[in-house]
Amino acid sequence: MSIDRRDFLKALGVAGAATAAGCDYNSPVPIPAPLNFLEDPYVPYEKVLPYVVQDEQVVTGVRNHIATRCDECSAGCGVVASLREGRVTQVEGNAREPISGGNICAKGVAGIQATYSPDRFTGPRRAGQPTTWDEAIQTIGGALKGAVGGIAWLGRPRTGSLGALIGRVLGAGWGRIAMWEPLGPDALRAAVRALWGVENLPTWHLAAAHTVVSFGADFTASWLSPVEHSRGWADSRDPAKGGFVSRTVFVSQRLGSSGVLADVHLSPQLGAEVDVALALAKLVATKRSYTGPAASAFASVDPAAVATKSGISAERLEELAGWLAEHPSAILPGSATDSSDPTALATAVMILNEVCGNIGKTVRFGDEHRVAGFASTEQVRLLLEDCAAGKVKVLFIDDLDPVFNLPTGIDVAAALAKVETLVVFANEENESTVDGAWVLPPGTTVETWGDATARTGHYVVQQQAMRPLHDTRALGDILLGLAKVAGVPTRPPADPATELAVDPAAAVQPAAIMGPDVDAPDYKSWLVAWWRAEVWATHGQPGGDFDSWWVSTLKDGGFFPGVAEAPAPAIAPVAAPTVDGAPAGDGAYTLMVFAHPFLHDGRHANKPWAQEVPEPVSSYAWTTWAEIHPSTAEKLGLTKTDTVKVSANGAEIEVDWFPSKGIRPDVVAVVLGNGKKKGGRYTRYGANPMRLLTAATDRGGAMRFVTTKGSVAKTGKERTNLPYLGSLDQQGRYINYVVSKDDLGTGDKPGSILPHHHPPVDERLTKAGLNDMFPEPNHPTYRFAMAVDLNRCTGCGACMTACHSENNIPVVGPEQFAKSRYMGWIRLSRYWEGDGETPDVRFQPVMCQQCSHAPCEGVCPVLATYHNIDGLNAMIYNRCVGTRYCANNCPYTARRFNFHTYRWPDSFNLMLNPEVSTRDMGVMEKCTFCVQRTREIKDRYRDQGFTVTVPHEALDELTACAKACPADAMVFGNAKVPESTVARQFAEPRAYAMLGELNNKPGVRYLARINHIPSLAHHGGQGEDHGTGSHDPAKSGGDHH
Amino acid sequence: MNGITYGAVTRDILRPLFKPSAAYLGLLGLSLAIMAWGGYCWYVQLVHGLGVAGYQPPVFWGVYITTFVFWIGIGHAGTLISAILFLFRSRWRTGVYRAAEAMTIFAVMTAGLFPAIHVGRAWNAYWLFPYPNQRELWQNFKSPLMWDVFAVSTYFSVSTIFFYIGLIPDLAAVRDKTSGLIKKMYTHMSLGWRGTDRQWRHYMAAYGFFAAFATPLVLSVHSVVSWDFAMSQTMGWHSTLFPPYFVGGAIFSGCAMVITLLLPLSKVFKWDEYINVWHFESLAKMCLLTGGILTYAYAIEHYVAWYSDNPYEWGIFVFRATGEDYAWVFYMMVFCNCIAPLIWWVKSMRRNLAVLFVVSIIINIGMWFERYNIIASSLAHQYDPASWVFYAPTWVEMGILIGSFGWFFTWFLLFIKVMPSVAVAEVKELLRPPLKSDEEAAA
Repeated sequence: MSIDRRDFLKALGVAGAATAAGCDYNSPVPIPAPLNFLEDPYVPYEKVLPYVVQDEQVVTGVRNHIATRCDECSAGCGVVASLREGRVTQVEGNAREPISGGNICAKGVAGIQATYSPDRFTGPRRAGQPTTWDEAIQTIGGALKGAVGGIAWLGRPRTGSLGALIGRVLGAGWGRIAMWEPLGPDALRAAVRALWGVENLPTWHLAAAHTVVSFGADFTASWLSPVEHSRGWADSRDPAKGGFVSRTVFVSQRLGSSGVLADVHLSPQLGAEVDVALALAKLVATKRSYTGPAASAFASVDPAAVATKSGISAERLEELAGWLAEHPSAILPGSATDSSDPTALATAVMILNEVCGNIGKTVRFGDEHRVAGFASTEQVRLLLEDCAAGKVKVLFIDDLDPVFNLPTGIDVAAALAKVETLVVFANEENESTVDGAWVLPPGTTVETWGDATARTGHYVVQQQAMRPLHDTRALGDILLGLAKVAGVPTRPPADPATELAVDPAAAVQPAAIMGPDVDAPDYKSWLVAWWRAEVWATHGQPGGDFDSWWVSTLKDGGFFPGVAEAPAPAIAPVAAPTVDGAPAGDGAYTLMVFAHPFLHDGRHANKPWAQEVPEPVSSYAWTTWAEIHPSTAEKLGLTKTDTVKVSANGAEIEVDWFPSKGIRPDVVAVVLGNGKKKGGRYTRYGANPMRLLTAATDRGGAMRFVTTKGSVAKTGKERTNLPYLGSLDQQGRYINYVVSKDDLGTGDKPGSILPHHHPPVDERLTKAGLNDMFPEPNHPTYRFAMAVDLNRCTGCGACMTACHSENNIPVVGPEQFAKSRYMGWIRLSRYWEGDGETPDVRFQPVMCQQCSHAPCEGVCPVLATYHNIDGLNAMIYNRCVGTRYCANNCPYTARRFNFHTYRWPDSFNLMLNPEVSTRDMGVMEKCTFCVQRTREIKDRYRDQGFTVTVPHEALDELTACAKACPADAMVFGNAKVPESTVARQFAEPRAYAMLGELNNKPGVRYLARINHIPSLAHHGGQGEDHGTGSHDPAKSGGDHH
Repeated sequence: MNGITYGAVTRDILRPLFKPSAAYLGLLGLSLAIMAWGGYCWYVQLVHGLGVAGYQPPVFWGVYITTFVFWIGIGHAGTLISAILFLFRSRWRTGVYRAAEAMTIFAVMTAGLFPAIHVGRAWNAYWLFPYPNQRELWQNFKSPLMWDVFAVSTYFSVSTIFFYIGLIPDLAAVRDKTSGLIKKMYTHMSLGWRGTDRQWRHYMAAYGFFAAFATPLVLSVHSVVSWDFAMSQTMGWHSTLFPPYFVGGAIFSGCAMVITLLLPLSKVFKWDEYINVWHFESLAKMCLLTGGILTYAYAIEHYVAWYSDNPYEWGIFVFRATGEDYAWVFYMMVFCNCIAPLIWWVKSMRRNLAVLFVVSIIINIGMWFERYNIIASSLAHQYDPASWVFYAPTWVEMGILIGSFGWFFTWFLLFIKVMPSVAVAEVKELLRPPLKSDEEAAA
């Protein structure tokens, strides 16, 4: 057969048409609804469509970055949303914003999952049925009109223009506003108000503190401003920063996310923590000759009696007081959940700060946390009482779940049922989206405009970064709509003080009700007008004209003028705070609860990353657990596969348990956050310990969480949730080193300050070049490498979460997690080396070590993993057959295997990073040092000419983990350049290669954690009970759970 | 074997080849059913992914590799008996070598399934073979798994050829006893064998050559398999002891398997004249020797780990012996492989068929557990205690393990139905030749 040109073209045309007709990703198939973490034979149906009119800012394949705001907690960090083709796929820290300093925490990273959650409401709903926005606004607006005096707002703390708008619409003679943080700093506020008469909270600047004392606050995980505290704490420990190594002391009944960082743990009797603070104040006052007004508070305190009462020896108190008197320190009160009388504790701690001279230095007013006008838990309780009494006709609930977050002592559900018009602003179902309520989805932070002034002199703007995925409307727009329908006066009241506040005793108003006209066409106009009036104008009109200032503000993610150093306010003379009430009940154990570092109070429970990334201390995921002291566990006869029943006040919950050496034997602490009765698909695990607690508040209006004694028993059921990490300690092995502060800088050569268990390498072999069978691979330009400073690492889990986000790491779900099939490329190893009071808890993020002599590479039969020119152990997913030999041969156990095809339910698939391929079942994967980022930056610099290599400064924080790390513990870079940060870290005497004796020549070095135990020589640096440093095989017998 | 004629030998040995009994068909059906169950389990795994197995990272190898090594080990005895003992002119091999060789081939065929079952993407398993392709992809010849591919495939092909060469005169004997289509088939299979002097001369040369050729392979194949472990950095695997240790273990398990298979065979077919206690005793002696080697290897392995003062290595051996997860596996292995066979030091015991049969099965179980002990415990407790886990197989893995026996026995049952299970020609060599004088005396 012969083909002429015509035939050929005809054939080509037909073939082309056929190809075009089939130009979908997949054939159309229905998408199944049920929750399935594993394979799902259907693939979502998507069409590939070109832009008809392309946005000028959108270049296909190139990221856009939009500075915006993180709203996962109330700290007020700015973030940068990174967009590809109109979708935000990731949020990272904003380096121009001072609180985050360019870093981000695990909760912040996972925040993006709120946007793409498959469980979101797709539009407004009335009593469970879809409705229209018009109907909602008209009906609710109408209800508002007839309910003057009976309108209330219960919501998250809102500041900035949104706070002003809420105050303007609902505070203007209409109703009462309670902005409330469930585990918020009510007690600290009460204490600060009592001592200084100030309504805002001071800020803690830990970097200058030689001693950081926390009375329980998990300051690196959930207390006030975790990212900022992590960085400050890490700086205080870093001898390169301040020339000293700080000491961390915890005075608390249990050691939580930050507690495990303590060098010294003093565990007082319950209720005695207040006395300890006062006794310390007295001892420090004596040493520092303090005679200020606060002295009246501890005049009658007898340290010896406190030592007896608390069970902490007088010598230890004296020693601690000595440290506090000698150098600047920072003392933090407990979190809401850490004391039976949080206000008394906060008061005592602030007095101690005053006596130590910390006020104005490490504990500052000036750039304070703005909490003025926010409600305490007591005020919320009163509001709900009024609801129950039928006094509230319209109640707005803004992004809170009071039914879940309040103890059973307050019957929130019954109170809500009495409200005529209940309006819940929520993007997803929760326990408070009760049946009869209006549910108005306000959209997420990346979908809407907003702002925050969480701190004085700190204005963050929340830019809308993408189009809303669903039919949502921003909170501000809803309020403006309601204001129009309800007839809110367009201008602010002339004299807010007299015109506002129906019931001054109970109502809570934002500090200042101000702002522009509610006639604004939309919330964005309101926001801009507010910024013009309240920021630009009050800060002396920076930048000249507003428009150019506004553009630069948007680019920076906000306006951060900072504040001038404010003199410390004078403290009022106070009496010694008395401690109210001891825990009551008929159980043998005092119950405590604590915030989950990722789920917090449960608000993040429907984010699979927050659920699946193992909680760093326990390494549990997808569950609720009780911390129980090993001696208590022994008494209860618990084995590692048992579950326990915790009961109190007539209720009981069944939970897993974790053997914590840091908790008192007479205390049992249960983590919050899981066990929702109503919520998204990922919230159906665990139990809610709030069900066990009564609702008592202290005199400062703060919730008293530690009021209940309960009992704990073994259920006899075998647990299904298993921890991710095997052994609790490192079994006497040398994986994670510590080094004494005294030995720093005494090494005669790099690395020599660290002990070695292995015989030293034979020098003759080294000279003859016989140590290695093969020559080291050639890395002509780059040797990508990473240094992890374990002395800075707080074990917060941000690196793991950021890695999930960057590398499309699937979520495997609880059943697979229980089989250790967690896919995260970083394992945060946790070793609990210390026994008894002094914890020696060591964290170590272990990712692929990118060895030069990689054990994985040689054994792959199909060369699916090989060494590349940049020093990476590259992985070719498509070539992988799945023999898994590489993973067996990796002594760091850094490789992960796709045992199933793990799917992203709609619409999580929209969140995937398009630069990273997803992996199917049967394929090995592992950390790539974010190869997509190194390739991208290399290409960018190579475009400038073939000889241009990436300057080492540009690489320091290139990888997602290093970029996120709130403590700046991870540094990436090119180890070939001696001036690079990573090369300098490699040369530190504290640097060591994990399992270096195997001679794998890893590209990751760890810098040993520095401790305060006097000298290495006496204990081998391996904690108190691993004295000889030799192996202790007797322990290796299956000591995992 | 006095008083047996050539004709009787042919008759006796070829007897099973004709009409299958109901018992035979029942056994074959059972084997097929077990095999089908294994196939179903594999199907489940192919559809859902390897997650249906019990793997708990970092335990990435489990029952499949255990079973692979187990079957490769079984596959050692046949060629050892047929080739090495042929070269040593050991007379007792004659009765058992045919069945042992068949067992070897089927065991290697069974083992050969397991790499494909084990890999994550079975549909890509052929990538392990170097073949020219337009993508210019090539294999990594540094990887012990590649060596394995060659060692096993070479062993399989040489064993099969050697097996077939041994079969030629016997196939001709079957040809002569059959008719019709079946005769035609055997005619083709016997490659025109007529038993002439010239043919015998060539035949014996070829047989001797292949015996010599197969002999080093017996030692190499399991050495290479042991390198899958020994070449790695995993503690408890990384040992220069592994090749002799594995070869010893393989012969041990292989000889035990020959006893397990041939004892019922000789009873069912009443082959007492050809396979009897003399053969089994010889096999038991082989087991005593190799079992001793194995026990020594176990001991020296622990000693070296202790002497090395390497905490990771010593940790593994202590964990194997005392850890609550796998200690029972370890003691199972010690009992089955080191203690149970000791009974054969007593002559009456190694001549007692019941004892022989039971102990041979115990050895087979023990050798499976030996590989399980090596693989699971080392991976479950690697260097970093933070990644320690406990691995236990699931029903899918156990189903495939059991199914592999169905596969093996299906082949073996088919073999005894279509081929002479005892070497007819060689048995005849052992007989006193029929002399004219004898006939005259009889007359």
